[in-house]
Amino acid sequence: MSSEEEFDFLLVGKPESISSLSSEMYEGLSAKTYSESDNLEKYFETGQFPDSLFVVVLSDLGSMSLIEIAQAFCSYVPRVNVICVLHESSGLDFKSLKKNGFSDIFLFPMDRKYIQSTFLALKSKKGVAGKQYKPVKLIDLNPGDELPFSLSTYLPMNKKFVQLTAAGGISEKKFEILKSKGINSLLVDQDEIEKFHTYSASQFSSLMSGGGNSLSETERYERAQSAVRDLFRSFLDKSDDGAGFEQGRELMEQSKKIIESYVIQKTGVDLRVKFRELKGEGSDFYSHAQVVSTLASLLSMATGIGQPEDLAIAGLFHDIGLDRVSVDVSLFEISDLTPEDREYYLQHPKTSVLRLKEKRVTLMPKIVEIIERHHERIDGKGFPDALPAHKVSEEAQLLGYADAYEYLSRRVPGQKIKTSLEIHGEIAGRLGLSPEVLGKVHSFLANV
Amino acid sequence: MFGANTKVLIVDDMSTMRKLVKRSVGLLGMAQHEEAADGQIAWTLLNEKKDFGLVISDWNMPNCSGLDFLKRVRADSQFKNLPFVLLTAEGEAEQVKEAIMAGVDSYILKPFTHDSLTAKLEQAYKKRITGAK
Repeated sequence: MSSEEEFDFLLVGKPESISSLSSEMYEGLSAKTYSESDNLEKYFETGQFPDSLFVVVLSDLGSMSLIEIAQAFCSYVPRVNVICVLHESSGLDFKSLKKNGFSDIFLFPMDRKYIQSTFLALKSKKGVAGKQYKPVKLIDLNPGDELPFSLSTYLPMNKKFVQLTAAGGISEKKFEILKSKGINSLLVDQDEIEKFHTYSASQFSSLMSGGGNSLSETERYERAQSAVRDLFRSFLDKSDDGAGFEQGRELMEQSKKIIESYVIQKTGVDLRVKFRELKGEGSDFYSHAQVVSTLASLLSMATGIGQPEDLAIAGLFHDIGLDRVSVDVSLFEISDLTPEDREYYLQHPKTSVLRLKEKRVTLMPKIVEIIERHHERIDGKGFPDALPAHKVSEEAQLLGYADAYEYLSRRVPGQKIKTSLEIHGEIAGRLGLSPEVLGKVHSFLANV
Repeated sequence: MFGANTKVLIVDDMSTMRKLVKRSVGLLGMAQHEEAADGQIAWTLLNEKKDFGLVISDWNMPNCSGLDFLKRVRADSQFKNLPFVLLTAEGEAEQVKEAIMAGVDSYILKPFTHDSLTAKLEQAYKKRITGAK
């Protein structure tokens, strides 16, 4: 897109839906808003459209449904890209929305990161984007190698990005310091990401003679997120409802494939190394599901609590019932949620199971129990049912532990990066888990 | 193609889409048209005016769907040869088959452009000409 090209960025939806989208996300794109069907009709009637048009539809307009809005844009404007950003997933028919002109459908807050990426790509094309980074796994970089790209990191205490090394390489010493600080990913400038892919491809072509995996950890992580997102969409998509048990069986197969490919490691994996690599790796709804699934199955293997496969499945789906909460709960205290969101949040363990059952997925009773009770606590102060200690299994507690560990290991601006034992201390102090479970996990973590 | 004096009945519950079709047929030279928001209103208009040369109707509408409207039109001897084009968001085989069985001349998948609408109207016109011969 050249700078001379005419470009419009439109936000379409009821005022409350437009205001729910943080303006920071599209800052610099000079948004024009259309909150009434009459105004939108007038826009169409002008017949004057820019060279390129990007439309974000956030809700229907009363007399105009989402589908009608997309159809109208696609019919009136030759070069238009219409995306849909919705807060409510219930009754959502992804296939129908796509068929009628939407190029993509995002759920908020689940897809917050994807929406941000879409807007960033647009800003980049318009030349109004700041510097953008992509995370790459430290494990994909060989110390001492000639690297054709620079590496940066985010310092949460200073709340800023710093360049660690210019193109040239990363020393063994620096590499070890990063590892010792629990930093598992570094950042590559978006403009240089192709160079990283070329580098990692050449790394693997030299290793392939040994019959290794052809994917870098960075790619594996990205693919896992994408696979989890696709899977969750299948669960939330209502277009196939009524497909029966066959559909449920297929979805379960899909889930198991994801777990086989991205969660449960083949033999020979050092559980401690794997656990260490996961610290701070959750960054959004989907990576949270993937990381918690992996953490829970690793902890199961390490402590002997439950079956790793059960914990992996429960970990993958434990939060899918958060689809009705209108905000990203990782950014809010429960007390700050609206009464409606609070209620949805407190019920989400049960809603998660409901979402699976709606798709006729057959689940082992143990997995249902783990998901439904992962927020129950032995002090009886958990939710949704405030169950007494004897009703909260060790497996459910272990999933609760993995869930909390993932959130607490994230890098938070203004806070230093926590060690595994510091995170454990926080969990032990406030989560209400049994001393037996905490003791078993601590024995494992002491050596991580 | 349909001549400039062809009067078009445009049926859609969404005014934006009616305007879009109106603009498109206008570009093809057909300046006479009337609008209806559903099949029931369209049926009344059709019986009142009796001078329409083409119907372009949406499928999904309240009260009386495009398919029901088509069936009523085809069941009436005075309109059984009236060119009828359906607009639909669905392209499923069963639905298309049902429309063809009911006597539709052509159907247009939404979202459509002026070019795709023109092509479908051309197709409907040729079908009528061929049928008339």
